[in-house]
Amino acid sequence: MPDRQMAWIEAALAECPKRDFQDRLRKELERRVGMTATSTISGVREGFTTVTPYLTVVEPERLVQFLKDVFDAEEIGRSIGGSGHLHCEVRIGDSMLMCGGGEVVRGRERPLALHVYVPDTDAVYERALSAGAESLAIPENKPYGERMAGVKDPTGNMWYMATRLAGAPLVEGMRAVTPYLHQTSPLDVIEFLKQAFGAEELGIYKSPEGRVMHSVVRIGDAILEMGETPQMPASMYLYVPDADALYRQAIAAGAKSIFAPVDQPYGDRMGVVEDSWGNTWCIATHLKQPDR
Amino acid sequence: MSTPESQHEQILVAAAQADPERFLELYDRHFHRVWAYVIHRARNREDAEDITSEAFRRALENIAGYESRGAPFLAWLLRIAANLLADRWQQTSKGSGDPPPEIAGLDEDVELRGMLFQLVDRLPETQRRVIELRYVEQRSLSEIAVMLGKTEGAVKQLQRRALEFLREQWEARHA
Repeated sequence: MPDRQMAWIEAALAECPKRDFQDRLRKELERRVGMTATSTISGVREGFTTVTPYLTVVEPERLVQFLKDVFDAEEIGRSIGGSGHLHCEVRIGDSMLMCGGGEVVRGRERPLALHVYVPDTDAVYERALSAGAESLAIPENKPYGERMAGVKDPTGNMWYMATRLAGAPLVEGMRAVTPYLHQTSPLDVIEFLKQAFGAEELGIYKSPEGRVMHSVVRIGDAILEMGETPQMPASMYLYVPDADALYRQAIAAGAKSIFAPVDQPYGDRMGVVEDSWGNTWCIATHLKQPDR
Repeated sequence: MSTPESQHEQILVAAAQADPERFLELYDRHFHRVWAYVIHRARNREDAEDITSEAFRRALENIAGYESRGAPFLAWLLRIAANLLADRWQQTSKGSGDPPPEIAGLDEDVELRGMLFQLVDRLPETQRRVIELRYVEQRSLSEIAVMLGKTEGAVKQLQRRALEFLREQWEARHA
């Protein structure tokens, strides 16, 4: 009987799963799966993806404390080099960050901008202000489905904190933290990233006047976002299967060598290049667990 | 004797055991039926969401050790969910007079509801939204009209089209 069928359907629909729950759960499983999967890629340290943002500031301890207080970051390890340069690794959700610096980097700081997913933008924004951050944008619902706020932490990094209002993250594969590069010529940078690191362009969104409002690329299994703004040179640490080969490829694509890959005491074979816009790219292959 | 369908599933499971990324295919394939099983037995939607999430987390963690032993993969997922439901009842309802959840596994009811929920996902986005607001959130037509920026008549039309689609598809599959 059609009417009885319809009544059954309508009654059953009350138990239908909510879309945002489905999306949230799928995203969580994707992240869990991603963490398991990346640990098996040769040359990539367990728990890392292809790209890790490297935040270089004069007061790294202060930065790490800020990340703990605001984003519940977990410190994974720290070490101090001969010159007094601190290196500290923290995890926010499923994302790793490297923080480093000290007095030795004064005048050569490299604060970054990062897009970070949080459970509750308003609460995290308040926590950031209490921890000494400066507000860049108050929490606001954005047309692309995120409630977003912006702050600058006391050491100069910019954090665009966002909570998805519904649905999965903007781009498949986005993790808790995504580097956001502020570049004067994002299209040229993307071209360089394609040639140097085999980046894949996922989207470029321009204003009617042709300005790049937002763009997204993928390098390996990591996502990077970029916008057309005054230049803020970035520093990224790449884990790849063959650092020497990728270093050569980056040089061929126009990057300047800072130093060629060498075996480092902490278990990575790593070299550094700088692109034409002043961004530095550490290119590493993980060889063994560090002797800590 | 295994059917092509069960062979396909065995391949999917073996792929997920070798490469965890393939687990998402199993999730997409079985989510709606696991949800149908859990929501019918949990105390409320919040519990159902917790238990369904935990069931898939545990399945992902333990898939390497999964052995079919002739039972479908879904039966294993429902067993995990059933254990979680029983644990939840022990923690929260024991002694309260609430009966323990029925633990019976895969049955026709789970199949039918799971199939319906899967069909809802195939609706165009606005129709899907109307169905969720109307039936899950129990909103009135006028409330939905305001939320979606449409007239009540338009919302009614979207609801009617969605229900027609669901009935047609449901009949075709159920037959």
